[in-house]
Amino acid sequence: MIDRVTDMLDQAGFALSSPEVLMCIVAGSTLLVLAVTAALRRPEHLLGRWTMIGGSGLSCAAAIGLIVLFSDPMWTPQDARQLELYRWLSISGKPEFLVSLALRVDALAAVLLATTTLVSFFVAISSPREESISQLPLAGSRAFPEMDGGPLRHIESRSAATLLLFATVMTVLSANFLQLYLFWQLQTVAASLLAGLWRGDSRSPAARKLLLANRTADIALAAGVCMLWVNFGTLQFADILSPASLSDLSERKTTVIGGICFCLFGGAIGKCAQIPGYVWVHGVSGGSSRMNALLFAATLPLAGVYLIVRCMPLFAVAANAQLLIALIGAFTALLAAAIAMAQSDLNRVLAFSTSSVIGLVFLGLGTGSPQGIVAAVYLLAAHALAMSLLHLASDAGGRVPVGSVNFDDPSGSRFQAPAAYWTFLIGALMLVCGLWGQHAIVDSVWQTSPTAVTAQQTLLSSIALLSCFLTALAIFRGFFLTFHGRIERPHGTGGIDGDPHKHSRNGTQWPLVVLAIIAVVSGPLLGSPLLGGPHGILESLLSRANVFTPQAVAAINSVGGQEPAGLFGIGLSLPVSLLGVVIAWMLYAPPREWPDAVQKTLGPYVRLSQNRFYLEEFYDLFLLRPFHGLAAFCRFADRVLIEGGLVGVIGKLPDWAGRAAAPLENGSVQLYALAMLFAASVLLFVLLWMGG
Amino acid sequence: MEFLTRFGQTLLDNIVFMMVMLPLVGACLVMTSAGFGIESIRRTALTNVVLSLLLAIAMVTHYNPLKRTATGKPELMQMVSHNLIWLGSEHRNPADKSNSRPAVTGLNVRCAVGVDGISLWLVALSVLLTFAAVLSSWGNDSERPAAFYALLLLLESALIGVFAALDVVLFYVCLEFAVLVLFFLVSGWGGSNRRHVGMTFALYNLAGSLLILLGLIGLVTSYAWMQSLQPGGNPRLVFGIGEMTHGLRSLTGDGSVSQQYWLYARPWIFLVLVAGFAIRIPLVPFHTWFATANVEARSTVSVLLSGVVLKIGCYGLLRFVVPIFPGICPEAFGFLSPVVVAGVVFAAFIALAQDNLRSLVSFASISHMGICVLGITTLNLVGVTGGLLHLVNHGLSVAVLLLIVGIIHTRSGRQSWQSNDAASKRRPLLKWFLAIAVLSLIGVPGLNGFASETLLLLGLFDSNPAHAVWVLGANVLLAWAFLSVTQRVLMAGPSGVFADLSGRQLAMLLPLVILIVWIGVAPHFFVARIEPSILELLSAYSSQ
Repeated sequence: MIDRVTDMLDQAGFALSSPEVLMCIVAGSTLLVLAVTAALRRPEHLLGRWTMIGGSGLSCAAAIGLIVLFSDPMWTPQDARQLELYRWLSISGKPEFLVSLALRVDALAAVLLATTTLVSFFVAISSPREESISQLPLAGSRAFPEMDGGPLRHIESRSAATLLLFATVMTVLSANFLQLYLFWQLQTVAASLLAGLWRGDSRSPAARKLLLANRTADIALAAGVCMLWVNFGTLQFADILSPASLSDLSERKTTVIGGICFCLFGGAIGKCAQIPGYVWVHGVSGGSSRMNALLFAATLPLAGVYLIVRCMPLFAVAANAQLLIALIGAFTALLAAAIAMAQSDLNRVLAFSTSSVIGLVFLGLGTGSPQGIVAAVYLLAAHALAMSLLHLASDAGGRVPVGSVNFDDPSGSRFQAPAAYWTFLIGALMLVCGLWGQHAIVDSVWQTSPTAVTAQQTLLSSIALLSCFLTALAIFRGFFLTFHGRIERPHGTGGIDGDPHKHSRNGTQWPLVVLAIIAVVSGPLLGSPLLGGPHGILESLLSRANVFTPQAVAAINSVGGQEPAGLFGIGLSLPVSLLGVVIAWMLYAPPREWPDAVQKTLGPYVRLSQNRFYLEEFYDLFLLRPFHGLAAFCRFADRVLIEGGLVGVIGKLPDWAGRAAAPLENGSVQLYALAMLFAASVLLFVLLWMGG
Repeated sequence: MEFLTRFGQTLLDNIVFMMVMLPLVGACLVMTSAGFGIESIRRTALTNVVLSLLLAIAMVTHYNPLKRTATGKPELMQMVSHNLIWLGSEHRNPADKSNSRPAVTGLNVRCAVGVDGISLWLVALSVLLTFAAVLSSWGNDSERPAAFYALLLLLESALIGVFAALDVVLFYVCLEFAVLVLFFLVSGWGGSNRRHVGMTFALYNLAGSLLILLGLIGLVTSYAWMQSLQPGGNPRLVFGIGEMTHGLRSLTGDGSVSQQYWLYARPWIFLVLVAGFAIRIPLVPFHTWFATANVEARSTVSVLLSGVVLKIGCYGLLRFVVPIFPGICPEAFGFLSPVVVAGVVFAAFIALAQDNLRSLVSFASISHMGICVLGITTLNLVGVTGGLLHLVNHGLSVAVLLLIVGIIHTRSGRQSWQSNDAASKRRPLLKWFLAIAVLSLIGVPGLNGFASETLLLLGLFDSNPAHAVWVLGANVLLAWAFLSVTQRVLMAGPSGVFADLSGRQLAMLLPLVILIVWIGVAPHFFVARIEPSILELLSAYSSQ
């Protein structure tokens, strides 16, 4: 009996030590959650909440198991595990078109899966209890901007959130480019459903903007995928990204790959809200904090960065594309941080900070060096944890339990919600200077040419430093304004039941604390590029994921081959970030008058920043209006020229012909005879001529 | 027992013929049941379309794309019944005891039908959409119901006939018949301007049919003429589409006299045929008849109009133009496709300027049909398969959208939604169906539009990347237009308009929505039945 039990345990353990089983668990549990939440009809049903928590927790555990499995040094960069589910579409021909729905996992995918599922798990845990939902007022409640439309909307938004999680997980688990594109777009749709539902009907233009901006960017991605198929004859990651297919390239093929890389990055621009695709951030980020945690920390940027990291072997061939990534990343980091500085709403500050941090991630990827890539992936994961902590803490500590946190509203939740206060502080410190991600990236940019100082390197690293400073300033400005502001309560607007913080006490504190601990611990655990030294866990994981060039992998594997990270980054960027924190503290911590004075002196700049550098207005003026004008013109042309002109004229032709011929039919027999004679002579002539 | 099996087999083998005939019988029954009140009319019509639907399911399951003849050649055209002769008569020589086909004197025009991969899904689509149309007109059929249902059934028969015809004359007769029936449907039931629109529709389409007729006559006479040019040849008018296609191909291979003639004649026949089908597709600038008729007609009729009738043009290209003119298609399509691309973008822009769902759907359909034509003009396997699949997909999605527009229209017109208001607190399925239809039209993955558009774009990228980028841009324009208008529709109506669906409405929408999702999630089932036929269709091109 005992033997059998141990046997079974052994078998279970064996099953759990196979990546295939684990990735099936990850995908399957998210799919199950999606099915259950979509099928539920009553919002107060406990099943919905617990499936979400259980499902995301289970998939998170499986993803961490995958990381553990892949930290075994037996894996080489080429042997990812792949499991074919079913044949989606296949067409014979040359080249054969074959797309299967398959799950494919390697170390890179495992890291990103763990990140996204972990964040979703904590978002699920800290969502409000069902008993409080069933008591929600129905449509039109002002206290619950998120709940416009009542419980029904809550179910729908929960389904959308699980769909978003499922799409993200499947994007990361994709085995070929078409499958990636499929789930990539599904993720966009889910995100826009979520944004549209949580924000209430009147504000759903934000959701439409998200969808359209991303679809426009996806033109580039679709073109890239098509070009891959035309040029490589396959869409499998394993075939395209293998060193064999990318070695000994002709010059033409190198150019083509450069073009493909541009296209792929075009898709990522939309997802990661980089220049010029960040137009959707402002609208969407006005929603609830938990939604923002899902959208901005766990899902959208993650997918975009994943695509680029996955295609690093392609980018290694195309130096121009790498430079483009680095430039766009750097400028987005700067611009988004500048926008984040002037926003009057904590959610928006955090959303634009995300954009800025992801810009730094792209800057790291743009260096193309192993150090830069490791730092980028590290910063992405660390940012997801810290940023979700910030969102959830602001959710718990804001003026109302959910919804926008506006700085103009009375605040001062330091005393009412100490847990939120401290966890937010920890998260912000981690994000700004605790986890070394930014500093490692600055360092890796500096390391791109270790011998001589180039203009490009100087430009990029100084922009990165500046954006570190601005991000720190923006986040801590938000922090101080939210938690250290005036403590006053205007009469009669104290939220529901007169106590604005009733819900924040409602047992939502311990998830925050746990998440804060995880965010702090995960740095050293993953092997922060500086803390863990040059041979951190993340680096060894990524060296088994076909991300680096073979030479770099060889250098990493030969002991001591890799240069230890320099002190340039930490020596310069840590003080700069801290300076940002300190300045924010001096300006905003106690309520003072002179932030207003500063704002006045910097008037035009602040207005520019508040209005997101008028990019949306620019698009409106130079893209949307001309398009609408063109549409109106086409409609006019259709009405007047085609329907009225062409068709009208053709329609009148028989009439005209009749009128023209009418005088001939006037009853004059002589005329008829003349015509007959004429025709007969012509006929005779033709016959004679033909016969001769 | 053996008799039963053989009987069943015979029935299965003639299933397409039965599908053409069944609605004709149904139309007669509907007319005769007119005296028994509206309920019996409805039931008769419904029974008929349900039977048709069952036959269509049997047809799809019975179709085997990998079937081979005894000699090992792939047998793509299946369920062929061609024993019924219209013109000409059979003469069996009494002395001849062998089982061979009797000789035919006279013209040998047959009522021959059958399906292959090109027509299979289009036939099934016609049946399915007629089923939905009959169910959807259930609520507002107080006006001359017997005539309306009978005409719907006649239209179904004509459409199946167009897609399944294996004989040139039968094809043309069904084509004309469909136009006439639609003329009565458009101008008899519809908006205030219906008579004028119906007239435009009929004249335009008859002009198109005339061109097609000229082209077909050209083909038949050319073949006869070329046979007589062969040494020892004997002119014979051949009306079987398959026989004519193969004959024309085999006679024009070498540098013979007949090839000389064919080189001279084929550009004209090609031009006339393509012009005729371009009106039917409709390609910009020949789209006026569709844009007006689709808005003016009753939503039931416009389901069939834009769901099925619109596919005839592309079907004609695939059935006649592509296989018969392998010599000039690649060049001629090179000239045609920029025009089509311009039309696609133009129609997408017009769609952007529309403010109601009906006219938006019309212009989006014109744009989508152009995209299908582009798929066909790639002349590679992936692109043509994508184009054909996109025809079916567009039919499904547009049908769902138009049916929902009809429901909303009825509800908001009759103010009957207030009673159902409580139901909307639960699951507003209608809203979700609307969302699914719109998302599938703008090509969101997981739904059918994505699968076909992916194939189309891959094929297009292979042949002409610039056109593919234009098509992608047009797609974004359409997405923009659809999202704006749908949002307005969802916001504008009182919430009760989106009350729960009745069982009847669910029955008509659910099969379509299931198919939309099925094709999106696992398109292989559908493509596998198409692909061998397209491969055979393009065999003339790969050898060059």
